[in-house]
Amino acid sequence: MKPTDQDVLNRLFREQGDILGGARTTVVALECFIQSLRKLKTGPDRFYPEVLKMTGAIQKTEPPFTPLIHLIERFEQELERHHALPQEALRDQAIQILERQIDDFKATVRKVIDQGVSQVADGDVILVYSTSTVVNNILIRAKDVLRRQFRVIVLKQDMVKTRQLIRELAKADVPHEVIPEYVLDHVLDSANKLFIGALSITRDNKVIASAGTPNIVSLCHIHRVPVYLFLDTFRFSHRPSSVQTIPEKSTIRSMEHFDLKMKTRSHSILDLDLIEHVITEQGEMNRPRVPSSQSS
Amino acid sequence: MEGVAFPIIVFVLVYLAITFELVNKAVAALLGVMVLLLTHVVSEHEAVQFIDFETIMLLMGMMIIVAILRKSGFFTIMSVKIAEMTEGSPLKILVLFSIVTASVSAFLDNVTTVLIIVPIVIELTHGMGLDPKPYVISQAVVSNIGGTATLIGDPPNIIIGSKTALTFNDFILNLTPVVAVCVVAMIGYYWLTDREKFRPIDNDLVKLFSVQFLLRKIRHEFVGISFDRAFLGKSLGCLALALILFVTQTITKISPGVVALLVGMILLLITRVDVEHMLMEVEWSTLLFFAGLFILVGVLEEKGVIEWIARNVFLKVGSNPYVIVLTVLWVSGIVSGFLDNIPFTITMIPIVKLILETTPIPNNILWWALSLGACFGGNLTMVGASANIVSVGMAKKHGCDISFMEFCKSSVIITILTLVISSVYLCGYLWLIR
Repeated sequence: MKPTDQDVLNRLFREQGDILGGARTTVVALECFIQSLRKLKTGPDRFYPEVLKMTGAIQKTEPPFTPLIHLIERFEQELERHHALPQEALRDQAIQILERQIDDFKATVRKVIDQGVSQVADGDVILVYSTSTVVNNILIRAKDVLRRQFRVIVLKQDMVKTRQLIRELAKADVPHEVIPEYVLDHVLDSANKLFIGALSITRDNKVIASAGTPNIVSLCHIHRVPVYLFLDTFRFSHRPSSVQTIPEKSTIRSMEHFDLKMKTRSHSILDLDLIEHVITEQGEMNRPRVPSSQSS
Repeated sequence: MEGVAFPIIVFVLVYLAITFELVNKAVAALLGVMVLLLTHVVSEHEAVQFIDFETIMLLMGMMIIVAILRKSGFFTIMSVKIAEMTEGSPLKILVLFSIVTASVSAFLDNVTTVLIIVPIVIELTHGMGLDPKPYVISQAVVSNIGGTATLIGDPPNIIIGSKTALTFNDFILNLTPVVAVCVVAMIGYYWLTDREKFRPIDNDLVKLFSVQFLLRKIRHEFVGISFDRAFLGKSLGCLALALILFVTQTITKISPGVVALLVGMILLLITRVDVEHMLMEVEWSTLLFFAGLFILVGVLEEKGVIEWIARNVFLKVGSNPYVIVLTVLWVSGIVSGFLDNIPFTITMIPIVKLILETTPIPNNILWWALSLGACFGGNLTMVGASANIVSVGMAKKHGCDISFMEFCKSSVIITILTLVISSVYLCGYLWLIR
């Protein structure tokens, strides 16, 4: 595989993750894997190597897309048992395994949401920053199902990222207001919780989250606004933060006759110690550790 | 020809200011008019009479219709559907988007078309790791080709249609076939010159995956905005009404200008949009530019300058209709590559009328030569048409710099190719009817 193909894939994962959040991106990636397997036209001897090339490329994404990597590792292990099958049977088998991975992952995410809903209480003023399917669904379900009376303050970051969140909150009639993240200090007196999601937690207890999250979390920490991190255990990585490559990205903002060239990053790394509550599908973990079963 | 030197100097200065973008086009044209008014070369009453309000109405009406259609999100949804239909195949991206761009340009202005199509093409090609440059250039070029197909597709056609008795159907019947051939030729040129770039990707799982992933992202990004179905229905219904009225112009006797403005007003009324906001979308500077140019050319016409140019430049080539047709076509093509084709067409209208008085050429072939030359000529250089400049600007915003020479490398060949096809078509047409 050409290095440019890997670069393209890395960029796509970062951009998709920024817009959809980790959980939805994982599901979308697996669905796209299925669709591309259906479209693949290759000789019988090339099918299995192509699949391995693909799984290898996903495992090399930067930053590592931890939940997807775990699911792909499982997929590889299961498919290896069938690799001697004829091409069409192998294709069917691969698709079936991937469909099962999607179901498993969705079930896990649903459990995290179930655990998370109980963290919303009447009268809460909840700060939300990054795009997270789990956080969005927790807020929507707390309003829809539990009829909780709370208010959300969305800290605006990128328009595209914020748009998704606002649209979903508006659709579910969740009372909310949007403020730029740089005026967070003005609402810290009224807010009593910060809800965030994350891409992964590393072996050395660092959290890989959307760019800018450490600033928000630090400010909340100083002002004693408790931070709630919601994530599934697929996101616990065995790798240390030092190998979580977060590449630099150049962007241009054009205004009138002025082009502003900026260098940015898709994700940031923050200390897990700054986070008061970590909620997984198993409930709240006081001091999360990477389970030994996860190998990535 | 007494007292012509001053208006000629004013006209040339305005032309230079427009060509080298020294000042805003509308300001240049209207400043020229003001100088002529102040020096009593022309009176206010005469000046107003030179303005072709049919053209102004058609342009204003179409600008309102396009602004509301853009707001409906229809074209964005359509572009995303096309992106999905390409399945990431580089050849399909080129072919399908070229067909769509050409078709949309035939009914909307070219700049609007590239504003809708080019961001998705860049997103798709860049996202797949392809070089977006040939795709961006091809879309700019094909929008200029497609715009030639109808009376409302490109300003030179709007001007020709308004200043002559040619109908919407005349344009379709006489220009659409040759435009279709030119679109095919353009696609063929891109494919033949770099076949390696357009190889299928369905034997590469990583590329297939990237494409599927990218298409999901594009769908989310561009179609994620919720759109109002009733608004969309009203917009499309009115567009259909405008097209029906354009096509039945010979029966209804309603001129295209009236149709466009009428439908524009109906749309403003029934969609209940913020009228002030929508009227801000109308390019008033373009309309003022047109009005100013009509006055400047009207003065030159009245002073006999246009007749002098016609007799001493175009009629010097002789009375052979083939030579006249080819001269108008190629001169229009080459001049439009460097100068704005709107003032050029406005200047050429009285010249063509004078040529036709001395050498009648049947079936409006000379008008078609002017239209094909002025529209296709815009492809000659990067500055030849607004759609080129806008496309290159959008590519730059996405980090893809297209130089003047990079643009010209393919656009010059395509312009020559399309002008050769037009020459064969017009000469063949002339030969058949004589």
